[in-house]
Amino acid sequence: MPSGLFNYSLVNLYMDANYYLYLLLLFLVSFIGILRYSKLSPAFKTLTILIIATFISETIKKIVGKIFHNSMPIAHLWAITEYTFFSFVYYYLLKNRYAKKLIIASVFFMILLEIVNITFFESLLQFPAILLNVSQFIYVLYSLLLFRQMLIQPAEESLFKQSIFWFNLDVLLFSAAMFLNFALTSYFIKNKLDATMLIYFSIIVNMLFYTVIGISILIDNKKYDAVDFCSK
Amino acid sequence: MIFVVNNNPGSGELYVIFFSTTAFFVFLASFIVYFIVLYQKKQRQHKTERDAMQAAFRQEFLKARLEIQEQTFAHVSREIHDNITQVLSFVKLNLAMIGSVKEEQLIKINENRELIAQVITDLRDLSKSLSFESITKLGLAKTIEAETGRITKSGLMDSTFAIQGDVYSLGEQRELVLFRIFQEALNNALKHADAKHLTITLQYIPEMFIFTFKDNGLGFSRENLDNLIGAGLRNIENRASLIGAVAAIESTPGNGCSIKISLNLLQHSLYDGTHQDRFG
Repeated sequence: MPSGLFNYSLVNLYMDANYYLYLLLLFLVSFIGILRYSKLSPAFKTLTILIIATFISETIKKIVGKIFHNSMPIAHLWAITEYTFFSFVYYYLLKNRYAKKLIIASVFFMILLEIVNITFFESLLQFPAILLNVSQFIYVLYSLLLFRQMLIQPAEESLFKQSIFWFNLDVLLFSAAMFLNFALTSYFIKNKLDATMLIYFSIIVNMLFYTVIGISILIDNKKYDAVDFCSK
Repeated sequence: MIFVVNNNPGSGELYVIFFSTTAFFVFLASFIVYFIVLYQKKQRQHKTERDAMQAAFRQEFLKARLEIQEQTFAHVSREIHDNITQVLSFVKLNLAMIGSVKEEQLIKINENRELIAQVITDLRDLSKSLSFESITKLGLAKTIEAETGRITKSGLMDSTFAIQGDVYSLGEQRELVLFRIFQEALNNALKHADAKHLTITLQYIPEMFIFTFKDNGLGFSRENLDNLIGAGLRNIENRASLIGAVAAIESTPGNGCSIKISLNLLQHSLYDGTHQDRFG
């Protein structure tokens, strides 16, 4: 979700230092996830695998970008992989059977969309903006569905101690912010405006996103089902 | 956000973008705050509902347990009355019919007959105290008075029994539960408190009934209670809550124990008035 744009923006426009900081953050979150892996719920186990994969993918993208000056084929591959992982995270978090079926269906839809996108709109050497925009829109829907579910089945534990709340809030804010960022960046480029502030904004949002994911992995516990009040 | 303008797409358009972006984030922030407030409200609502369900379940469970207990008591009472005491009466009669025995043997036989007569009387008393029929026939005040008199007569301890106000019926089920509370308190006083004197008061105030049971025994501190006495006191509290009464148990080591059951007759409870399906 965030990596594609982040990588595209940073590698091309920003200092290496920021990128290494970003990789360090991903490494730290992955490390926390590995340390707590056995204690995590299935959703957060999937999330940990995603973060580890993100760290590997971002590192490869950096190397490929340095050698070939274009890492977009990896960005295309990663966009669909990342969507699949995030969908599975929500597959575990959402209890509704229809929602689960829709999530599975959406993965196939996104694969189809990617094929169509590569064939007709954005080639493998171009930034996969369509796929990322659609992904972010769907993440907002996932997030709203999970918030709805949380309201129907509130857990006994304080909301602020629930990993699911922090993760979902993080996804909602990040997806909404990045969706807006995409739109504004397109507008700025089209009107030849200086988009430096938007790139700074993108960096801050990305850093915050992975930091909050790290916190949610840190506080998650598989023994406690945060979306079921009666399970305690 | 602050936008640095290189080219000029129209400052009005930029203002629109700036305010739209701000409005978007304000909307997001408001949504999050609304969600948090709503979630906490739902949490409280669920907790209240769950607590109410648990309380109702506890009451139902207690009711079922007491009903089973009453059925058992009634069965044992009937067995004592219809079987054991009858057999003992027959044994007593047989002993009376033994003839042509030596003087020494006759004395022994008479002693045994007296002992059997005593056992029959004790068993009949026990049968009465186990059965709910005496409560139904005599009512709470008279049954407790009779029980207190029996204890005093037995010489186990002295007792003072007092009724304040005009006696009225509390309903069969409530009176039976109150009588079982009395029995539990009496059992504690006899077995554990080493009490020498009991003071039992029944206060019939309009719309309020207060039952007080005091002993001058060893007393206790709640923290140092063993499981048996602790369970007995919890039993009293649970039974009281079942009929919508409040039990206040006060005791300190060396100062005896006071049990006060206050029943507000306006309050609704599971055992309101007389039920069709009485225990047993």
